[in-house]
Amino acid sequence: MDRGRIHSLNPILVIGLIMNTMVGVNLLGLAHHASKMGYNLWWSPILLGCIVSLTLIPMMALCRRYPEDNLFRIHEKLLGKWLGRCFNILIIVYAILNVSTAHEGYVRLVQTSMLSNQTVTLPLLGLTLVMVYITNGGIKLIARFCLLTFFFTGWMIFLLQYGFQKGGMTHIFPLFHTDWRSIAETVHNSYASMLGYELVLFFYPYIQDKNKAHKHVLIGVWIVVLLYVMILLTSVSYFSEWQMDNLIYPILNLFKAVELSFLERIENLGIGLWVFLILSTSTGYLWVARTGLEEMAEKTRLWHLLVPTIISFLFIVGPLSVERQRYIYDKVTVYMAYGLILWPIFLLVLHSLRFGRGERVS
Amino acid sequence: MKRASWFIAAVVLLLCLCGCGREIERPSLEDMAMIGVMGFDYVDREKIDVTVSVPVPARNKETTQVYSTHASMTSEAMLNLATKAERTMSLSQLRVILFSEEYARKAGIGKVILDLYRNPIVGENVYIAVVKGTAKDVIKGTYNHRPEINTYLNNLLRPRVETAFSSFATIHDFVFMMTSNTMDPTLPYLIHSNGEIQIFKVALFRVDRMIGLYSQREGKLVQGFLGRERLPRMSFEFQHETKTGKKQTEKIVFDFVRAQTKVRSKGSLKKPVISIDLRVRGMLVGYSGNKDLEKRSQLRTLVQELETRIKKESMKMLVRFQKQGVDPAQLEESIRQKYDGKWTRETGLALYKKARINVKVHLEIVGFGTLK
Amino acid sequence: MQNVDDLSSLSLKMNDEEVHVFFLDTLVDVSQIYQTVFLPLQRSDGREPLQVLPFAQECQLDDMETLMSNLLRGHTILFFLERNLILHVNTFQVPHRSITKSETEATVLGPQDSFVEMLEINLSLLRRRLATPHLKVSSYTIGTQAQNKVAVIYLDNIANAENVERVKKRIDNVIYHGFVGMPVLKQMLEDKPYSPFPQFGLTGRPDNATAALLDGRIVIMLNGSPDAAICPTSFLEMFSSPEDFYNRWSTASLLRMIRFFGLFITIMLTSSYVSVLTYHPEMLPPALLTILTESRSRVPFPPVIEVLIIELVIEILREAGIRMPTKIGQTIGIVGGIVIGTASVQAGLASNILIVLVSVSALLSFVPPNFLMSNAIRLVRYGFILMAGVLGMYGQMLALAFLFGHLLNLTSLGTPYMAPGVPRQWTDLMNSLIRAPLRFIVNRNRMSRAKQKHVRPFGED
Repeated sequence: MDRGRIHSLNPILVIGLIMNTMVGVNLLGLAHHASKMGYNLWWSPILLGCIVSLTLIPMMALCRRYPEDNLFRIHEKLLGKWLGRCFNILIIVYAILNVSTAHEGYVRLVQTSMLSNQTVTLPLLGLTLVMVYITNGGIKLIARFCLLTFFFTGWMIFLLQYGFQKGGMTHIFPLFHTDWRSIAETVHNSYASMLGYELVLFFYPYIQDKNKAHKHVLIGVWIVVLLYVMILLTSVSYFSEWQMDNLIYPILNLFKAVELSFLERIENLGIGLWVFLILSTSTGYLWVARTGLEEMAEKTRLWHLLVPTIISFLFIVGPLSVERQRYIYDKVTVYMAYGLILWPIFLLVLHSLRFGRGERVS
Repeated sequence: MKRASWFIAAVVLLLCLCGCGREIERPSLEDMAMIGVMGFDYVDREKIDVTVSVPVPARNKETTQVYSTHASMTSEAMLNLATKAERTMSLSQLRVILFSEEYARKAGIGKVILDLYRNPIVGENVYIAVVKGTAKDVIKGTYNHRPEINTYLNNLLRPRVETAFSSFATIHDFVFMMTSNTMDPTLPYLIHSNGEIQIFKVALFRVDRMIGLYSQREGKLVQGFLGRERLPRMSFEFQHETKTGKKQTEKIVFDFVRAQTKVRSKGSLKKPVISIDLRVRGMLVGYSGNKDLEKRSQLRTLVQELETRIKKESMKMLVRFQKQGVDPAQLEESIRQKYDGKWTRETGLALYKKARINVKVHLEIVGFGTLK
Repeated sequence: MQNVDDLSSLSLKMNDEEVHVFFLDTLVDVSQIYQTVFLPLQRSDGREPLQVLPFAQECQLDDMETLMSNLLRGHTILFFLERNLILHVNTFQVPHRSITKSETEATVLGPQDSFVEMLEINLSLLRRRLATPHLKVSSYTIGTQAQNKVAVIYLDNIANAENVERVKKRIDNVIYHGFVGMPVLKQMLEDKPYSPFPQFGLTGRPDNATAALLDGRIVIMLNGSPDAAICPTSFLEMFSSPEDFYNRWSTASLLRMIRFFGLFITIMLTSSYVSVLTYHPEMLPPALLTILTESRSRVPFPPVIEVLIIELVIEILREAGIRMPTKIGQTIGIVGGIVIGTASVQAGLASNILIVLVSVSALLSFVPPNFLMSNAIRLVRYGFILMAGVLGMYGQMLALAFLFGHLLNLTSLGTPYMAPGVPRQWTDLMNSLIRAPLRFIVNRNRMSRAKQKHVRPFGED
C-alpha cells in the first residue's frame, strides 16, 4: 500500500503542511493579540516572519546533519538514551498541550457562537474522533489533508473584501508610529499564531527533496505571513483600535460583515469550515506525540495514538478549571515552544563538540 | 475482527448520540419568536422601556406581536420578555434597533449597543436609528398599505442612494464611530406621523449621547466628505438678474454619478490646514432656466456657479461644525494620519478647532438629459 | 457420475471398434456433435482416430481430474476401449444473450454495445477495438466450487508492470467458493473493503473499458458477468462518463462540473436544512425566513426526524420502482412522488420546502454515472443529516472533514484515490473537473503510471 514509502512528502505537500499547521486557532484572535501596536499591527506578521526565518536556520542545519532522523532520534543519539528520553517526554507533553490548545480555543468559540446552550463535550468528542482517524493515516495523510484544507478554506480570503470595502485604508497612517516596548509585547502575544513550523524537525526525514526543503518551508511560512498581513490590513481598515483591543475573535466579526442576498450570517459557515484548519494543526501535533511514543517503545501500536488523544481530551473536559487551563495554554505552551525553537542551537553546538562541524550522521 | 469491533463501537456511539434526544428536541424555527425590531425608551436614569416586535408568519396575512417591559439592561429585558411570550425569544433575526430621542439625549445609547455587540447571536448588520417621540409608538403604530413593521423598518433603513444623506449605521458602524477617536457618530433620525415613517434628519452624537441634528442637505455633503461615492440628488436654486432687470430663478437638480473626496491636512500641528478636494461627476436631471446647455461657454458658467455654490455651502456648514466642536465628517482622521504621539479625542478636537479648512470643488457635468 | 441427468452417453462403432461417447447435452449443440464427431467417425474408413478427428486431443488415462473438468466445460469425451485411448473434442456451444444497449450507462452518442455474460464474447468486443498484439489477456480459474474463469486484460506496452503484478497477486490470493458476478469479486480485490466507496471502476461498456486500457489501466473480467472492473481508478473518474469525450469539450466540462458539485449539494442540502432550522435560524434572509416558518408551522416533528422520514420515503420509492415491472413501476413513481409529496405537505407532516430540497438532492444523487458511487453518496448523506441534527453546521463540517479524511486515506490498487486533486498533477487536471479540448490532453493519466507517458508525440500540429 501507499504507506510503506518513507520519503513521501513532495514539495507541495511540504508547503501545505507548513502552512496549515501554522494557521489554526490563533488566527481567530490574531488582531486581538497584536492590538498593543494599535493600527500599526498590520506589519507585525512580517516581523514575526523574519524571526521565524531566523530560527529556521539552526533547525534546518540540524536536520541536514541528521537527514534520516527526527528530533526524538537525534536526542537519543546526541544526549544518550536516558537524557534523550527525558527530553522526548517533554516534547510529547508539548505536542499534547498544543493539541489541547487548538481544540480548546476552537471548541469554546463554537460553543459561544454556534451552539449556545450546549456543553463542549459533544463537539469536542467529534473533533477528537476525526483527528484520531486522520492521524492514524500517517504523516502523508496529514499532509494531504492540509493541502485539501487549503482548497477548502483558501477561498474565504475573498470574503475579506466585504470588510475591506466598508473600512478606510487611511488607518494605516502614520506608519511605524510605535515603540519598542509594544512591538516586543505584540511579538510575544502573537507568536503563538506562527507556531507549527517547528514540526519540520519531526517530519524532515519524510521529505523527498531534502536539498530544497529549507526553501519550501520558507515559502510556506511567507505565504502564511502574506495571509496574516492581508487579514490584519482588513482588520485595521474595518475596526477601530478600541474594537481590536476588545474583541476576542475579530475574525468572527469580519465574517459577520459579509452580506449575501441568499444567505446571511456567513460566520456560521466560516467558523464551521475552520474545523479543517484546526484539524490540520492538531493532527500534526498528535502525530508528533505518537511518533515520540513509538520511538520510545520502538514499535507501532494503536495505543500510542490513543493515549495522547485521551490525555488531550481529558485535559479540556477534565477536572482542571478553565482559568488554570487558559494559563497553561497561553503561558506554558508558548514558553515550551520558545524552548523548542531555540533548542536546535544547543543541539548544534553539542553536535559540533561531539562529531565536528558539518558532518552528516545517518 | 479488530476493525469490525471498531466499527461496531462507532455505530453504538453514534446511536447513543442520537438517543440523547435532548439535543434534537431543541426549539426549532417555528418554536422561536424571532425579534425583528427592538425599541428603547427612557424611563429614568436606571430603567429602560424595552419594546420588541416579533413577526408571526401566517398563510395570508402577516401579523406582529409586540411585547414590552422595563429593565435596566438588554439581557435583563430579554429575561423578562421570555416569560411573556409563548415561544422562545431569540435575538438571532434582530434587524433594527430604535432609540427614542429622549433616551439618546439623556442616557446615552452606548451601554445598550455594547450589550448587544457582545452577544454573538446578534448579527453585525443591525441598523440603528433614533426616533422622535417614543420608539414604542413607532413599533406599535399601524401603517397602511405597508408590509408589517419588521420588514418595513428594515427596508426603510437599508442603504439606498435616495437616503444616503444619513450614515445607515449598523451596530458595528456605530461602535466603530463611537470608538474611532476621530469622529462624532451620526445616526438617521426618524419621524413618525400620519401612518408614515420618514428619515427626516441626521442625529449627531458625542460618543454615545445625542447632541443635535443636522439637515438632509448637510448630511449629503457630510457623506461626500466621508468618502461615499454615490450621493443622493441635490437641488440648487440660483437667482439671476436678466439684462432687462427682471429677476429670474434658475433651478437645477443635480444627480451625482460619482463623487470622490480627498481630505489632506497640511501645515504644522500648531496651525493645521485641512484641505478638502471634492471631485464630482454628475448629470442634470432637472433644469429650469434659459441657458443653452449645448453651448460650452454657458455650460461652463453653470458649472462654475454650481462649484461655488457647493463650496460656499460646505464651507458654511464646516465652519459651523467647527465652532460647535463637532466633527461628523471625520476630518480629524486627516490630522491623525500626520500626528506623532499619543492620539486622543481631546487632542483631535483641539487641533480640529484650530484648523483652517479649504474646500476645493471640481464639478463635471456628463449629461443633461435629451433636451437641450 | 451419479444424478447428473444431462450426461449423455452412447456407444457407436468405428471400424468395428466400439467407442463410448460422453458429453453434457446442456453444454453442447447435439447437431454440432453429429457434424463434427459422429459423421467423421462413421466415415473413418480404417484411419486412425486422431487423423479422423484432427481437433481432438489425447488425454492421459489416469488423469481423471482433467477429464472431468473438460467434460464440465462442454467437451465431448471419446473412449476407445480396445486401443486404450481417450480423446476429447471441444464441442462447447450454448445459447447466449445477444449484445444489447447498455441499460445502466446509457449514452446518447457513441457506441451502444455492451458486455454480455460470456467472457469470450466480451474479449472479442475488446479485441475488435484494440487490434494490437500488446493486448494481453491472462486467465485464471478461481472459486473452489464454481471454477470461475477470470481474465486480466492490459496493454503490456502501456500498463504499469507493478500494477499488473499486484492485480495478479491479489487474484491468486482470493479463496472463495464461487463468484456470481464481477461486483462480488471486485469487493475482494479492493484495497479497503470496509469503505462505502467503490475503489475500482465498474463498467458494462466496451468503449469505457477500451479507453481505460489505452490509458494504461487494467481491466478484470469474470466469465458470467457483464461488467468489467477497471483499476486503478480515482474518485474524480467516478464522475466522468464516456460521453464526455463524445461531446464537445465545453459541454462536457459543464456536465462534469454539475456532476461533481452535485455531490456537494446532495450531501449538504438536506443536512443544511436541518442545521439552519435547528441551530442557525439567523442565517436565513427575511424573505426565506417567512416562507420557511410558515411551511414548518404545522409540522409536528423536529427537523431531523422530518428530513429522515422524507428521505426514507424517497429511498423506498426508488427501491420499489426498481423491483416493480416497468409499467407499474412508472405509475408507482408518479403516484408515490406526487401523491405522497402533496398529501404529506397538506397533512402537515412535512414542509413543502423540504419536499423540494429532498427531491433535488435525490435527483442529484443519481447524477454520477457510477451506480456504486451514487449509492455510497446516498448513504453518506444520512451521516450528514444526523451530524447536522446533533451539532448543526459545525457537525456538518466535521462530517465533511471526516469524509475527506477518509477519501484521502483510500487507495485504488495502491494509488491515491483523490488523485489528481490532492496529490495533484497539473497535467491531469485537464481531464478531471473539466474536460479540456483533446489538443491539451497530451499525457496519460498520471495515476495509471503508464510506461508511455504521452498519448501522442509532441510537436504535432
